[in-house]
Amino acid sequence: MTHAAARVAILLALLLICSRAFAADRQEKPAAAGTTALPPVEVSALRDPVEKSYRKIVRGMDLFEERRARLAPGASLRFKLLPRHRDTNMQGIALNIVSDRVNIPVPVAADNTFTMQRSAQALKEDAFVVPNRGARTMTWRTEIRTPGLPPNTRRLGDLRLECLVGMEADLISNVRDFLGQIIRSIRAPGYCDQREPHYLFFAERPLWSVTLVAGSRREVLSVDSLYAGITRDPMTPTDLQYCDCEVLLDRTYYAPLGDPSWPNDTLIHFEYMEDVPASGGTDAPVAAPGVQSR
Amino acid sequence: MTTALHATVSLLLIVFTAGCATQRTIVPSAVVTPQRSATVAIERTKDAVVIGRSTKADVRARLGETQVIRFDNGFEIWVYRFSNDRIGTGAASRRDVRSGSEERPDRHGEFVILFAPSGLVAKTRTRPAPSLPPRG
Repeated sequence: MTHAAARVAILLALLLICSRAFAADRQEKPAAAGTTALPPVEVSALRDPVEKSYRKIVRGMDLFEERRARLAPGASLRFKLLPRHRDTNMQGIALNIVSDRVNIPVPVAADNTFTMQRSAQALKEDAFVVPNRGARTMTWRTEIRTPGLPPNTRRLGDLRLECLVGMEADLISNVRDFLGQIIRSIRAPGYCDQREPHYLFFAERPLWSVTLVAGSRREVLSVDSLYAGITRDPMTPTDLQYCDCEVLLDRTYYAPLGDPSWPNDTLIHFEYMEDVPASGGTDAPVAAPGVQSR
Repeated sequence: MTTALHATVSLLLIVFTAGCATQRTIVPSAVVTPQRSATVAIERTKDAVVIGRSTKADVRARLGETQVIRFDNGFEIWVYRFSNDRIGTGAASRRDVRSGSEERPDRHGEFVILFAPSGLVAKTRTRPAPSLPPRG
């Protein structure tokens, strides 16, 4: 009898877990083809928001202050929200630091970046940072940029610090719920120091080519370092659900963060699938060796 | 009683599990097929493609079938690896052994083609096998 009751309890627990997943998916499911599209509705309180721990984010901010002098001395730290679904409404996102006695609005810029203020009360109460969007509709990243770089470039030291702070702040969300948490806890220490960690960076537009330049040394990244590495490890549609890159796959790249032969001042040049005309106000991408452009 | 309850819960579990598996329809933002790219001699890629003119059929006829990434924005990327251009000698080999990545495909040179949504070649990229960092 006791054994049977235990089995029933296990089954009920599984049922409960599944029901939660079912409910979350219902929140995010796009309108079926043929149905009338309704204007997006802002929900002020979601049952299952894509929230993050305030304490962890502050730990990331502390790490930024600790490492910035060596990796990115001229850079500032912002955080950024990115869509995970085609139908995620990225306009007018409201973000709050929330706990029992704290509710601090966090202004979100038009490009969906923001800074985080420090609050002793929020830290004490183990607050969460809560946007008015559902779970798995967005992902979070750090945005660490040295000012004055040429157009269509990033700096490797900035990316190294983005990875360190992002991991410390526990921003990534491309992991399966249970097993992923275990894997994440195992891989966290020193993860960004690996030769090419699978920390996804997102370019502004669909990528064609990424080139590292340090002095006279230039190297085009392999296609295996673009598009979340799907040429090396193809992803099924199910895999894609658990990837931060779910709808931004064509913008993703890995960087050789742990390769000490590339200095922090290495510039990473991007060329995009579609070139922006010069009249559009953006400089043409830097041509990389061995790359023909129409 | 216990058996009936067990059966009912099991049935509900199956129904809800099926719901979990099928509720969310994903339209992938990219599809890659097949899993391996073709290897070609580097000489074969010279003059194999004309930007703005070559079609997919032209490239297939010249270089053969290979790994293709189809993006939902209409662009396609075709990937060929060089059979005769890879790190494997001297200091380069030592570096690979240290990193444990001697057999990684990105140690090979590659020829990558971007097809525009029109079906014509928009860009190509020849990437030689990675060079060594300067000493000192």
